[in-house]
Amino acid sequence: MEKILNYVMVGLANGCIYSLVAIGFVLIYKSSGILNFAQGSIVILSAYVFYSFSMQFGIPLLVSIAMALVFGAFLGFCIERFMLDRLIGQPILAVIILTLAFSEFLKGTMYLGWGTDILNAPPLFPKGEISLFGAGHLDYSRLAFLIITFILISGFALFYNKTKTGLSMKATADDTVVAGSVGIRVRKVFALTWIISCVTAAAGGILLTNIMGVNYQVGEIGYKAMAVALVGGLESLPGIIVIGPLMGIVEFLAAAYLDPLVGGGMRDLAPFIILLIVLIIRPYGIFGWKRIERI
Amino acid sequence: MLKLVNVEVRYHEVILVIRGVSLEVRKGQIVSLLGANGAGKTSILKSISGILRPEDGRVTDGSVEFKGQPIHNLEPYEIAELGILQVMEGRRIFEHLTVEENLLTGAILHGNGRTKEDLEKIYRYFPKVLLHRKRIGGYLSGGEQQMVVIGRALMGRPELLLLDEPSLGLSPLLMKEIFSILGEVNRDEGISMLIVEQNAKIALDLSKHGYVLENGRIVMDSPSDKLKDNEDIKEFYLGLSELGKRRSYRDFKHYSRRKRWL
Repeated sequence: MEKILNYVMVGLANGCIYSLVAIGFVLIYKSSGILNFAQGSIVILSAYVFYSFSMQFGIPLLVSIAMALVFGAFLGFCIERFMLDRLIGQPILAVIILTLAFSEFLKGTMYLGWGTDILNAPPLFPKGEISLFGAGHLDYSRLAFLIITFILISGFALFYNKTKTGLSMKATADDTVVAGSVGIRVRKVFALTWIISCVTAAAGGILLTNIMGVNYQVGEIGYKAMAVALVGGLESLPGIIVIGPLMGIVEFLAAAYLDPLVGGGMRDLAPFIILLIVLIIRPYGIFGWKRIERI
Repeated sequence: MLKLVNVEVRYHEVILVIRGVSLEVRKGQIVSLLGANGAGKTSILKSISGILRPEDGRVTDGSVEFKGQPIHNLEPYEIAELGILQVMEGRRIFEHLTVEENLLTGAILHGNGRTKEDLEKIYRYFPKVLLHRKRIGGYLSGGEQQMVVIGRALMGRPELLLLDEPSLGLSPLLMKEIFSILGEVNRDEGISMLIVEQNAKIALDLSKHGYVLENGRIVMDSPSDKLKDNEDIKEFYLGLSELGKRRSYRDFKHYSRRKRWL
């Protein structure tokens, strides 16, 4: 019993990071119909940048974090302004492939710049753990994950639902042409969408350095986050907030209880098995928009 | 207030859909623009509101002027900020936003200012919309959606409203209701309107002046009352003929009658 609770808590904390990274997928998909394959690479690139600032240049921890987030914002702005803006009106598939190419480009750059070793970033949180009502325990860094992602996601939800800018984003996501016709500055909204997506990705990357170290392979988290976004429904922000933690829990439970039976690897396999099943039964995801059709 | 001078619109640089159209909307005036399918009515509206570009269309000749300022190279939001708003064809409501959110998007182009009073004003004009303010836009009936979409445009406090087939797919009763509200808005707020319609009768009843468009050209341009009395308009757009009279078979050969004016 104690063990199960442990797995659940650890999975929950990891899953929160998936949600954080998946916000980017959903936002970008909603506003422009693009599936951003580069999300994972952006996550890990930000982690590398954070590593360089803090370890190589010796900048204080908090400042490095802030700088890495700003870097994320800048990257998002550049992607939108210098690559995607030129492709407005072109086939959406071309844009999607462009993000895939950009992702590989970033991976190559990281390989050249930082090598293939797993680098150790400075610890963000003190070591130690708290006990959970005597039924298990959770280390500080995962506890911090839970709290930080909770704050970030609820802050974002407030911004999205309560502010004028959030409303412009929602409207643009619904119908770009009409949004333009009511006087919304659609290009600004696109830029903002990419900035927010890359900042949340950067935040996820920085948090991840604490448990996984910094290595370009960690970028694979992008695919898991994509699975979360697809299972939740690509248009649904509430969907990913629910599905991310669930996916994390399933992952750890699968690793704990199925690995002994099949000889390992279930942790990475489980999310995609779920993805397959969900997509076959509900192609638009569990919380996704089925287009509203009235007859 | 709005003036189109010899406007030419092309899509993809080659497809010429508007061939030198000139028209004018004066301050506080309602003008209707009639024409068959594919005559180019919608393209004219889009050339004014600036949403040709997403469809790879462009004003290639002539000019669109609003209060003396050429606007045909501006972005849609810039044109909206100048005071021209288009209600697009087919009730393009934000389907996943609530009714109230839909209305609020119309106010984004202004600062925070008078949003609340504006909302109340819209609800006064469209009491039905108030009943559904918390509902998701996509689930409203056609007439209600049309009201929300018009209300959304009014939230932007336009000086000129471009309406693209507001009667499309609505029952005659709803059509009447919406057009009478449009008349009210025009009287109370002094908003000028350019209405594109297939339903010539209802449009000509509301408007002061009318244009008839065929194949990308203006073929008639006169006060609405005169247009309503015109034999050709009666037959081709109003569906009227002299009932009760004996007609010879020659009259049924409508192909022998002039249908094109140019």
